[in-house]
Amino acid sequence: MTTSYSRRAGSVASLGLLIPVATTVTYMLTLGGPDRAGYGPGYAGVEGYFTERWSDIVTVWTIESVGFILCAIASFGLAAAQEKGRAAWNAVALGSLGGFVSTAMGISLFQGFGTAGEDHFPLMVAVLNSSFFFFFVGKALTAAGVAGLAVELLKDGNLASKLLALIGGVVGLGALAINTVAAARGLDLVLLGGFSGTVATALGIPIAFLVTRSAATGSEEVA
Amino acid sequence: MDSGYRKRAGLMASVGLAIPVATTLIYMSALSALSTDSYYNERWSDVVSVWLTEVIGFAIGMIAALGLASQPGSEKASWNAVACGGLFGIVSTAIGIGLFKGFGTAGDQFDDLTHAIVNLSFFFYFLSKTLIGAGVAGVGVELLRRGALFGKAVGLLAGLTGLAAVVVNVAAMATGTELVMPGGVTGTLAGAIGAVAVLVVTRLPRSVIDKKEGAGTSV
Repeated sequence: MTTSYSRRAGSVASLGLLIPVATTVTYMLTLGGPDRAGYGPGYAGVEGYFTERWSDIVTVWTIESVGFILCAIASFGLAAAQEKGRAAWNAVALGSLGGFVSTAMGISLFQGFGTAGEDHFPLMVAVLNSSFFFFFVGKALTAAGVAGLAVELLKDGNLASKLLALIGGVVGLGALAINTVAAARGLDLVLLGGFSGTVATALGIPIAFLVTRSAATGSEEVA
Repeated sequence: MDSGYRKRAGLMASVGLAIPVATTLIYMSALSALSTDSYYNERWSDVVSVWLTEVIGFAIGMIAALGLASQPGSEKASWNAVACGGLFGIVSTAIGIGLFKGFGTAGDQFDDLTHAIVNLSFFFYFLSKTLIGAGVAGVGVELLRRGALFGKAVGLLAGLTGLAAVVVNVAAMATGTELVMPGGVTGTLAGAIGAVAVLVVTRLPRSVIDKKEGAGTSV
């Protein structure tokens, strides 16, 4: 495995982490869910939101899905390429896969269940719960991976990199803990889980980029 | 792949196989015989706690097994099977945590849909047990080839229980929830034996093939 492969895969993994951060910020600023978008709570709000804003929602989530897949493929490649940081790259890859399942459920199920009638609303809530379970698992695994990559960067980086790695490690562990708890709590901790997971992912962008450019990463390590 | 990495990853894979065995035993002894009302309204947080612990076990086993699959040498397919088994185990429990209560308490008119959701979850459950069974059987074969007497005995048990889990759980996938007990028992037994087999196989001296492959790809 060559240095240039690690660099290319690292760039794609960073891009794959950046895209979901960008789409999350875009979603929260322009859409944000039925309540924040002014459609109100309950079935009426969900029906209005998923009817009138559907094309915008699908566009954002589709772009997010592309980011998740880019990140998963690049991270699996990096995990197979070298022993260094292997578990962390696998965690990032599986986290992206979790995120992908979450958006896939949103794109394919939310409008159908959300507009099926008020008597079906409890089923819509269950489908939302299920999608958010994968969302939280995805964020938890990505955050665990970012924390693992941060440990690798702490070993090899310069002072600025080490500082970034320290912050990434702490935030990654925090996001891992919050999203693990959130996975057991339905929709109670959506904002907290999403915020901490997104911050950990954002920190993961430069960390993934730098760790694939540090001196020891380029050489393949086979005992 | 140095032996220290292999041992650590082997320990994690073993823990990842053991946790779902432990949670299955806890679930079966404490939560499986409850009434529907008690299950969803009184003990649901216990159910979620058990299943979330199981998800953590699957995730640990999956990441460790993927790491072991990346090593030079044998058992690659077995580790990938264990990793994929963990992935589908997570999907199965995720459907349970996310959908069961919502569908199960939505009203009698949705009973058919609830059954469909339960079937879907169990399909992934059986698929997970099948893949873990296949992986454990593969590790068993490797132990039979390379292990000492204790290793060969564990390998034989792993091979047999793994194979049984594959056969029963493949059949179970085609029959809805009719074979939950035999599928679960054989899969859990394979997981339990597999936890030991994985620990033993990752502590064997590396084979000549492993060393050659390792040397061939290093720079």
